[in-house]
Amino acid sequence: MDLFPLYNSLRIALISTVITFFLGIFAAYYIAKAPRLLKGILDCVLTLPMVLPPTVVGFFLLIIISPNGIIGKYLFEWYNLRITMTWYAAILSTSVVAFPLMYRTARGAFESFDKNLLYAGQTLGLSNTYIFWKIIMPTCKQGILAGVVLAFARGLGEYGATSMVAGYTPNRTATISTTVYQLWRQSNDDLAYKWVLINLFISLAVLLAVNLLEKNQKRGN
Amino acid sequence: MLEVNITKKLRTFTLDVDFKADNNALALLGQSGSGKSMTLKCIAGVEKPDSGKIILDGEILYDSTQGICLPPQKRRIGLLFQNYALFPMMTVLQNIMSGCKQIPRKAHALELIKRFGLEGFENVYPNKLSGGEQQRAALARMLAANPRLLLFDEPFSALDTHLRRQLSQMVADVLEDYDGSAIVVSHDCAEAFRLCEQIAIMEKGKITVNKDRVSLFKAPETVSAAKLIGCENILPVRTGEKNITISNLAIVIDNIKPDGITAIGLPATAIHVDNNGEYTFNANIIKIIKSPYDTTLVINMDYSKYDIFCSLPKGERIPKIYSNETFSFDKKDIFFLKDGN
Repeated sequence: MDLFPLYNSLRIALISTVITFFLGIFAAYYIAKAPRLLKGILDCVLTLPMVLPPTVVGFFLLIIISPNGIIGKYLFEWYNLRITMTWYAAILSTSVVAFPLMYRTARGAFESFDKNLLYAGQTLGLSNTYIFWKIIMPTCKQGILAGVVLAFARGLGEYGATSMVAGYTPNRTATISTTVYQLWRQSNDDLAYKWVLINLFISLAVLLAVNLLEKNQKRGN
Repeated sequence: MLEVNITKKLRTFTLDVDFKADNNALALLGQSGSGKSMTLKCIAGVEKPDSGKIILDGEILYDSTQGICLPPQKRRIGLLFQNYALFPMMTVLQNIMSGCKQIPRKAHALELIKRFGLEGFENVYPNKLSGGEQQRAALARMLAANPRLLLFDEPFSALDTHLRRQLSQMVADVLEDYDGSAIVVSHDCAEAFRLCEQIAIMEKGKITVNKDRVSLFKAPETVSAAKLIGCENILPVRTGEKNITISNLAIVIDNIKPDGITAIGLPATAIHVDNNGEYTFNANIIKIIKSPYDTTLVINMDYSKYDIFCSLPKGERIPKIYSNETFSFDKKDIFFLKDGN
């Protein structure tokens, strides 16, 4: 059995989790502090990928990055670079789809953060960077970790947008979810079962992690 | 020396404060939501005023006309929070060391731990401490940063009476040793009196009274000042040429300049059950409230909407409930108050 789809799925999910982690926290931190109207608008825009069908997200991405798309056109003309139908195109699609999960959980955590801790740190002369990484982040740890796990799970299972921008090429862009679909189309049920079981196992592990995190959170650490 | 003159638009009113504080402690007294905490936050630099000036010991911390606004980290102002705001993932020692400037930091922090009776709690996390211990740790942490000005935001309101007294004594000691200015925000006048020489009263974002504590308690000048020092009876008056009339008691007080007076304050202890005072009135006793130290009579004249409170020292004869008695008071005990509410 060729394990490339497992490897490919994991690297895509991991890299896009790292990207959404930083982008999501960055967006959450600044939007939590933004004035009300701006907050409402940005919140809608940034959450959109969560409610849109993944194929619509994929469609938008193609408009932007395909060789005759808004940005893809220049990349192709100037560097002869073609992003679509590569494994790293899937990083882009999974990042976009998983981003709202990270962003929303992190924002919830930041909003429930006791502002007085920030103020206390500032009046004690601690730098804002130090306060963010050593006081705010550890205090919001549970919420942010839950966001990371959810984003990772979403990235691992992404199908719609990924299949549109990265397609299915065995040994190059195949992920678990696209492989299961291809195997089913080829009536290769035995192999499809194996991949389904692998997927099921990973999903259960992720859910278990989320539950453990939530339990810890309720206990108030 | 601290000079504050700032405005900031808040949701329901505009903060507009102007005061100076010398090296004696100043109390900011007022009801919750009057802008006291926001004033402290602006001074500490964690909130930004809309306009004005804040100057501490000659250094400009904030000046809207010059575009100066020092970040809180550069101001060296200690701020003590009502909920203590200890960092939850740090031990008591780490909390105290976090802002410590003096080298060696650990030795200095341990010294403060000793001073505030926190020995044995060095490696304990804040959520395992009692309210009083958390407050002491927060005090130690604030002093460790060696601040030039101390700000206390309702320092004892989350504690029960016994602890409150102990900690208030501790803060009084800290203030005594400390040679910079300090501001204590409170809604408890007794607490403000214990800790501060100077008392400023805030109402809806403005400081309406600012005077030394003795004269404030001797002669409050406004209705809100009278309420805050715990004056039980505040009665509206009608003013004449050279006299004022307390309509509810049908008493006219002569030989007084009525300029601006809208009400009088009469402490419950100033009213006696006899006819020896300068002014007398008859009223029905509608309720008797007993406490371990004194007895309070609630009296009313002809079902007026103002109940009057009269306090009898322990041991004095207590009249029967529902009886009609003669009460009296003297002119020297009356507070003449300005402004209506």
